[in-house]
Amino acid sequence: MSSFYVPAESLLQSRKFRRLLVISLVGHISVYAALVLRPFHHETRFTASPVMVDLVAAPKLPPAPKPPAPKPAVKEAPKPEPAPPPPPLKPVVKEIVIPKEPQPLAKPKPKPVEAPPAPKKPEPPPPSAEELMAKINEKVEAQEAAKAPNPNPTEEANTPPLPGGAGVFDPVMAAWQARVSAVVRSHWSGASICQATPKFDVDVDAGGHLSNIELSESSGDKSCDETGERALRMSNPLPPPPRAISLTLNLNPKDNE
Amino acid sequence: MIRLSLSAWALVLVLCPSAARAQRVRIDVNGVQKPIPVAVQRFAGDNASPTIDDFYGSLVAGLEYSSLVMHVSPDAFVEPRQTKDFEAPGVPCENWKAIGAEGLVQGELHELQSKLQVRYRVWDTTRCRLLGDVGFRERDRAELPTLAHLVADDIVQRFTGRRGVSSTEIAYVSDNGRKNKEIWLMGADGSNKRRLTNNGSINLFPSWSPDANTLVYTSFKGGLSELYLLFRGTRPGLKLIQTRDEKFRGVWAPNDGTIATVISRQGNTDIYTVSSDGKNPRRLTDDRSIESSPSWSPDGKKMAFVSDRTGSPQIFVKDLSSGEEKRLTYSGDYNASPAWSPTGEWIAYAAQAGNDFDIYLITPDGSYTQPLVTDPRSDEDPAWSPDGRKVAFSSNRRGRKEIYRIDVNGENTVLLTDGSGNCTNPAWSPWLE
Repeated sequence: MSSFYVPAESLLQSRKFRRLLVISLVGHISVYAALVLRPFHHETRFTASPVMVDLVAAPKLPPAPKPPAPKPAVKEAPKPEPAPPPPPLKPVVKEIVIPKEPQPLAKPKPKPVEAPPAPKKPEPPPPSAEELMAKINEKVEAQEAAKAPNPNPTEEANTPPLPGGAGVFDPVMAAWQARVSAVVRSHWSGASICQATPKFDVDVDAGGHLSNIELSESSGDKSCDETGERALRMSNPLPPPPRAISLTLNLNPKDNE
Repeated sequence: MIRLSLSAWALVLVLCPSAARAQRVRIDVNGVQKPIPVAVQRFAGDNASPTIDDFYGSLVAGLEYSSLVMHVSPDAFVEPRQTKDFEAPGVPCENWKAIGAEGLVQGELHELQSKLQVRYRVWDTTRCRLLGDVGFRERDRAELPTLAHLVADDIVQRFTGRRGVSSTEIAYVSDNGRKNKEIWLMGADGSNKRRLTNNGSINLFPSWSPDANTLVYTSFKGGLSELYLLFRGTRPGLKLIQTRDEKFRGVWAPNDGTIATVISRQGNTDIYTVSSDGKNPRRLTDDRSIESSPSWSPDGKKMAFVSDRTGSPQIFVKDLSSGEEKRLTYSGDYNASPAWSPTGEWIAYAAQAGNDFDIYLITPDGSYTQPLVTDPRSDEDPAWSPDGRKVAFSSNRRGRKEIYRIDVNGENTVLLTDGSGNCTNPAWSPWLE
């Protein structure tokens, strides 16, 4: 009987027992660790997939190509299975972003909330040409209504620093050009006479007055050319231009509008 | 980088006005059909005479006839309505320009015995330049409208480069509500209608000589179809060709005394030419089919005609020097009555559409066709005005066939006859002088 009863002290003092105890503890801990680590992996996978969906949804691309994109990403995610769980998430994000829409990601920047003292508009929101032209037309019409042809040519000439070079859209000049075209058109009676297009070079001062009217390219018909010159003289003065300028006017006998 | 360079550009323009001044901008102006506004003062003369007003009315009407020049209402004048000082070296151009007048006509009119004398000046008020200073023109008092129209046509030429046609005439055929058909004549505006033939037979197809003094026409008055000449101011009836063949139509060449004729010889109808005395016949077409309706090109080197050699009547063009013939129309089963424009750019013709005809324009090389008159009823017999800007034609759109005119751009259709009979075969005269 007594041989079966072993006091606890003596057991703890026994080397064999201590070794067994350590082994048992290690075994338990390892089992416990295995149990804890397993669910953590599941969670990683789950969180990874919504991230991918968000990134893919942000860019506005044809809906069709989207769905396939996440799939390969999901497959790749589990691949980098190295030990620490956090690192694998980053590479997954990178791989999803790279494929197609790098620029859309930059867009979210125009933070509407960010309204700190910002005298400078970070990026001038592209003013539509129509809005500008409408404003200009209003201005010009107001000027005409008041019949005050602004006797300050130099100021006007300096106001809009507008490069009107080839290939550059200049809304102020475009509005003025449209007005000039309409004015000359209303005076030109060569459409039923001309077979070809006479071209005129003319200088316009800041008050709209014409000078140096020159036929730069004849239509081949003297009478037709004369209708053009008469139209220019009848149109003098033109609406004041944004600045003193030289014009080339092409008088097309056919109405292309 | 681009933005930077543009800013630099702008800076240069601001700092250096001369750079801005040197900049050249192109503006395209697309034209609209619009007549030239011209102010016309009543001519100086005896104010009590109604002649002044009559002349003014006819002159203004002659200008408007062109569709290219319109007169500015005298109500808008700042300057006097009547010419005061014809001899003055200049005119206050700004005052005329201010009312929208690009031109000014002033003059004086005198009546001496039964004659009218007129002199006039034409100004370009935009450049303040004299376009014309025309000395005395004279006509009988009875020809006042013609004199005014001659002045108007000259003014049109000074502004448009091509003489107006208000003083021209149109010959045509009318049955006057009876069974016979006679040759008639009227002014280009439909005024002054008078009958030229009166033989009670069928008279057709008048055609003018280049000097507008003679008409050749077809008549059945002798039983057979023959060609006759009608000289201005004499009685009609001179037979052109003395052979026994049937002659269906004569068309004067534009630049010499040659007349193209359609002659049926031994059952075969072809086109020939004869001299103005009916001699020296020369065969132009030689085909078993029927060739007819010749129309000369303005230089007389080509001829458009109708042939059914391909199975249906179509328009062909023959080069008279090389002899080459080319088919011009391919669409439609029946294309006829070609009329080559005096400017050479178009050939007008009648194209069958259903049971009726429309009038089309085609370029002489056949590359382009466009409709000119497409009324639901039948429009036929196109004939060009001498300036090539108008076409006269016959149409039954009001029931009876009547003569109309239309601008070549398809606008301003005007009825010229008065519905007193069926009117066909208009022939627009060349300029009278």
